[in-house]
Amino acid sequence: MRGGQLTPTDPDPIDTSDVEELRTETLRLRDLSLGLVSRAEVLTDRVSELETALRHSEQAHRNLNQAHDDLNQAHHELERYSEAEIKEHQRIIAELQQANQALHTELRRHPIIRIGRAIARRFRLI
Amino acid sequence: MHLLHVVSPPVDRSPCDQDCDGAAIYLSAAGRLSEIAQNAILNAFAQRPDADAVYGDIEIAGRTLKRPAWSPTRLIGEPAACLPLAARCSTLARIGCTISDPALPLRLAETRATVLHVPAVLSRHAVAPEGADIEKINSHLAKIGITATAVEEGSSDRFLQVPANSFGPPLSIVIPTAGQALDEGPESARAVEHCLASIATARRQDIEVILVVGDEYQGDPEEISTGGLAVRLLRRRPGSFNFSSACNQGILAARNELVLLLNDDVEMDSGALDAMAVHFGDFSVGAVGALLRYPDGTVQHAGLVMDNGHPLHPFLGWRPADCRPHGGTVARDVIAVTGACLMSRRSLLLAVGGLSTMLPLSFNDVDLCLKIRRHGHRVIVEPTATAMHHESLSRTAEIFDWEWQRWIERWGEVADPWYHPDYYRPDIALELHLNADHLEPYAQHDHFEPRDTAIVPAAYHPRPLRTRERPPCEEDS
Repeated sequence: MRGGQLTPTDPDPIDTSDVEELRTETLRLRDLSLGLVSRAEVLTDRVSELETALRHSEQAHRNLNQAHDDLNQAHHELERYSEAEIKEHQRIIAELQQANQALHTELRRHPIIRIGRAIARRFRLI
Repeated sequence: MHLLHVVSPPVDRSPCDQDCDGAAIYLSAAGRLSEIAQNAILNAFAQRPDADAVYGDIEIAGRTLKRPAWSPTRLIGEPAACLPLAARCSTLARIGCTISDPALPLRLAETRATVLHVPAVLSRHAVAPEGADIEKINSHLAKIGITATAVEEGSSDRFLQVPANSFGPPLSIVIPTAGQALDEGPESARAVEHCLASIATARRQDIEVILVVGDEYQGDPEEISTGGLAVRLLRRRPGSFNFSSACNQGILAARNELVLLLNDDVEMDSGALDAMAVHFGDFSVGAVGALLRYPDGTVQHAGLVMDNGHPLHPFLGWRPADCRPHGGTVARDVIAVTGACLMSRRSLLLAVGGLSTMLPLSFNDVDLCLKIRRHGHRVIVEPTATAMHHESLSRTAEIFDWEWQRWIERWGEVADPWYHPDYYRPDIALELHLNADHLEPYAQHDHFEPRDTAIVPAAYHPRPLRTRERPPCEEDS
């Protein structure tokens, strides 16, 4: 504690025969003792706060490590494929997308769909 | 615990015996539990196996009443202050009381029961629940050792009346003084002489006054007009002025068990000493403060509240009558009272080390009250004990950084159990009367954490002052 409160009274009043001085020193020590107990509780509370923060931080650390592991795993899986295989996959995906688009265009031209859209427009549904 | 008996009238006995592991709550015809009540009450009992009873905030005719934590002294003036109350069935059996008995809170106070407060609305009522009548309050006073009578004024105001022929316990009054004059001018009397004259009007034979004077005394202390009182002059040891040290010297020299620490710029009103002293019949009371007014009649002190580690004076600058609707005129437990006028027991003051000399000017009174509370005694304010305070006549009201630092290092942030978590700290330091803004809730929240009256130091984290919302005016629209 600041303010030199912990330093014992110098000279030590035990040698004095002044009763008032001894009583005053007793009061000072009692106050100091209660103050120290309360100060210890303040510090204990701070310790508990820091421990909680540390636990949260450790959890966050664990989450971060897990994310790193997942990322590494993904990289490893990616590395398992050759460049040619990746290109082939990309080509297949592009073909599938084109086929999908063509199917949609075809569907829009179908008579039933056109009749349906005309009816919907008539009734202001679209 | 998972069982809450909700008892409604007519009923004349508790719903179960002490074998029941549950609790009971009595609701008058015009009351009903809120949506959260059952869970909040059962949760409080589950969290605190030592708790005997639980109460919460209340809504009466659509108006929410924020309540303080448990205060046995408040029950004398406001016997319904914690009704409706949920009590463990085993507690009811132990204290021999039914859940519907309006005197149940008084009985809990007599048996030193542990009563928790949940700062959330737990019940809604069309009319306020009825507490114990004056007869039961007087019987309660006799049981706890207070030799005064509760009297009623109007429909709701109750206060203690000390018998006129009461002599009260012998009293030592400790007054550190520097001999300041009340006003400027050669003819102006010293503040301490006004102070002594006001004490002399008490006409008590068993008062010992101890004046503690030091080198800074202006004039000859032997020439102080004592108003016929038995006054002892105590010379302070040489050294810089330390208010705590001066008070401690007086406490050590006091010959009576009851000690009043009094500033020399305070003038006691008639009957104030007895009104304070009577509470010490109850051994659980460790310190009693008074209601102090400025010379213009407005309130300077009516107990303290603590917000974010800052001791504040609620009702500062208010007229006493305006404090009544907010409970400011009722005797009650508070976290601390000012050392300008603080009565306590000498043995207790010595046991807690008196006033801390490491807090020589500010915070020593609040520190003392916290020590008293942690020593197992209560601190109360008795607003019927009134006095005039020419505050800080002998020193500036400034608080130095090092004082604040020492205060925070010692206590950190102590939560004030009698200060509702919805209240907020004022933001205009220079307009001190706005201190009482804490009586306007900052926000309406349900706080489920039950609270008792323990004083727990915790780490301090400064919070920015909350901005008071400006009420809308025409220009805004």
